[in-house]
This record gives sequence, C-alpha cells and structure tokens, in this order.
Amino acid sequence: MDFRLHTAQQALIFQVFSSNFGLSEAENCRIEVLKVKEPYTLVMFDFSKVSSIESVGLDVLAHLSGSILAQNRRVMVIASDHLTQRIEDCGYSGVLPCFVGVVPKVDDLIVDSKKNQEIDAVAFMQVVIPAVRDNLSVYAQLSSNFGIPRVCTQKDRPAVDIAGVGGFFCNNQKGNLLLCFQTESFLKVVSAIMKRKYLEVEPGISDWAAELANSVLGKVKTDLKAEGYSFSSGIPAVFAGKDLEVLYSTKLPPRLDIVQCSGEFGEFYIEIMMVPND
Amino acid sequence: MGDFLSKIDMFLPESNFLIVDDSNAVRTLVKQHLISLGFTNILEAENGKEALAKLDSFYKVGVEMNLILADWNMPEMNGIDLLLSLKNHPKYKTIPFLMITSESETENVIKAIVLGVTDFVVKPFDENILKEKLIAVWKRTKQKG
Repeated sequence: MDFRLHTAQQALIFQVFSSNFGLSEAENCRIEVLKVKEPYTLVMFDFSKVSSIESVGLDVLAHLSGSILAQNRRVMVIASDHLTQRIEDCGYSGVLPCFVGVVPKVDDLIVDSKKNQEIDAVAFMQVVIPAVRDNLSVYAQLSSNFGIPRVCTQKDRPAVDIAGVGGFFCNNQKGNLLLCFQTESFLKVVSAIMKRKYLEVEPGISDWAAELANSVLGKVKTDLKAEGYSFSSGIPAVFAGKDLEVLYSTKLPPRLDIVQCSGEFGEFYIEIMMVPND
Repeated sequence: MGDFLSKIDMFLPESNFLIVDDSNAVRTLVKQHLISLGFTNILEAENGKEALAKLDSFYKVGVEMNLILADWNMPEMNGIDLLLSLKNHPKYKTIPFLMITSESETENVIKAIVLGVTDFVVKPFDENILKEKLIAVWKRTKQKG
C-alpha cells in the first residue's frame, strides 16, 4: 500500500500555510511523492525557497509527517539553513529530517482515487483485522489470533451476548461492522483494559463494545482513505442481552463475512455485512 | 508518578482536568490513567454543550480549567465545535485542548490545528501515550508563552 498524497491534500496544505501561518511564499513550497526503493515512498517537502514559517505551520507539517512515518513511508524536508535550525529548535528534527539544498523536480505526482471501485468484504476484512489486533494490544495488552474469514448466513453464525455495532458507507456500498462477544470473553477483555476484574456486566462497561467498534472504524477509515476509497461511519451502538441473534432487514439476504478472533480472553468474532448503497 | 509531575511544571496534582466524551468507557479509562499519573481533580462531561455549561459554572466560582481532553465524535456538540467555541471565548481560549480521536486523517488534523488544538491522542491509547501527550501539551503551551 503506497502512501498517496492527493492534489486536494496538497492544495489544502498550501492554503493552510499561506493563509494562516505567515508562510510568505507559499507558492514556493513544493510537496512531492517520490518512488524510491520498494516498498518505500518518500514524501518530500521542499521549503528551500521559503524564508519563514511560524511554529503552528511546523505543527501541521510535523503531524502530517508523523502519519506518513507511521505508514512506514519516509519523509524528507529540503530546507534553508534558517528553517532547518527552526525545525530543530521546535523539537521536530526526529519527524522532519532536513536536507539543505534542492532535489531535482520529479513530475510523477500521484493521484489514484478508488472512489468508483467496489471494495469486497475480504479486502475490507484485511484492514479490519489489523485494526482489531491493534486495539486489543494497546487498550488491553492482549495478543490475538485470527482465523480464516468465512461467509455465512444469518442463521448459521454463533449467538452473541454483547455486540458493538457500527454502520458505515464505503464508496457505493453500505454496511455494518460488528464485534460480537459472549459475556465471558467480553468481561475478560474489559477487565484487561480497565485493569480490574469484572465478574458481571456492570452498568457502563458494555460501552466498551461500542468504543472498540468506534476505534476500529476510525483506523479502518484512515487506512481506506489513504488508499483512495471514500469512507464514513456513524457513532457505534451496543446490543446486549443473552444469546442474541442479529438480523438485517435488507431486501436481499445479506452476505455476511465473519472471522474468529481468539486469545487468552477466549473468543469473539468480527462480522462484516455489506450491501449496495441504493 | 512524582517524577512525571516534576517534569511538567504547568500541571500540579491539584490541576483541574475536564474529560469530554460521550462514552462512559473512555471517560473512565482516561480518568483512571490521569489518577495513576498523580492527578486528583478530574471532571467529566458527556458532550461539548455539557462541557461549556460546566466551564461556565466553574468559572463563576473562580475555578480555572487547566486542560480539556475531548473526543472528536460526540452527539449534541462534537469536539471540533467545542474547540471552536472555546477559541472564540475570551476566558477559555487559552485552555490547552487535547483532542481524542479515532481518526487521524490529514484533513481533520489540519482543520483542528488551524482552530488551535494543542495536540491529539489517536485511539487506541494507553497510559504511556497519554503521558507523552501531556508532556507535548506542556512543551507547546510553553513555546506559545
């Protein structure tokens, strides 16, 4: 997955720099995406002809660079001596490695929108699984293993006690992401997050099902948008009860893709339901 | 814990923190992390509107807020609208604002930075991440003088 810097983003950055941050020569600022040795993509910010930039402008640049670096891309800033010093003074030299000088212009700025493509459930699941793994690891310090995704119908999937449910739109499709727990595994996950042992679903802790779904959808949104898809999601909700059967009221029987997740907490499953957006 | 507080002299154990999030789960987790870092005065609000009302009522009795930690997506009034309201308010515009978000899209981040957010915590997060962000808030607030 390459990081793609879209022209809209570039325009926004230029606009932000020029109108808000006292960057007097915004038109002299160049942002380029350079293909280097695979799998890396290098994003170059050329400020060599820029005379001044205020600290909040550097905040924007540093945050942008942080998200590029998080995707295992490389960032390079071509800057004047003065700006290099300023980046260092502001404590950003770690995320904004500076080079004094000018790099030759490369014309292949990439715009690769996937807004008209359908995303299939398997490709979607490939983004969801790392997001779930990441959430369990950071929030609960729990490691997790994932099974092979399988297609099932509304009648042949495991019963659920607690589910975090988030609706989304992705290109010309819409759907739901569900994190489906039995009470026991849910309590173990929440106990690990809150660092105290829960023996029953006390008021308030079922919110964690929605919060996990929310956090997973946020990561999915960021990753899919970086790949050129359009994506939006709502505020997730919780279904809670005993042996619940979640049914969708779609015109045609929906395709359901589920994947089992297991670990020291027991098991739960992720469900993706997608239908065309009519 | 004491070591951490001695590093960031703008926050004292008795500093006032306001957590704004519609999720009781997240509010409880953030509160737990702050307590574990040594802070004691932690207030909560479920959305931006409630946060503004609480700020007003505290301001009337002379209590100042030292940091607001707010979620991005909330019903009633979201985090970005709360930030906008605070930055337009003569009394509240200097309160450091830490946005908690599940989305780290460039456009949203830039929008919040333009409005004056102090820093971001991207979900999922743990106590160490929150601690690093408090240090970042301290550095940025110090830089801006």
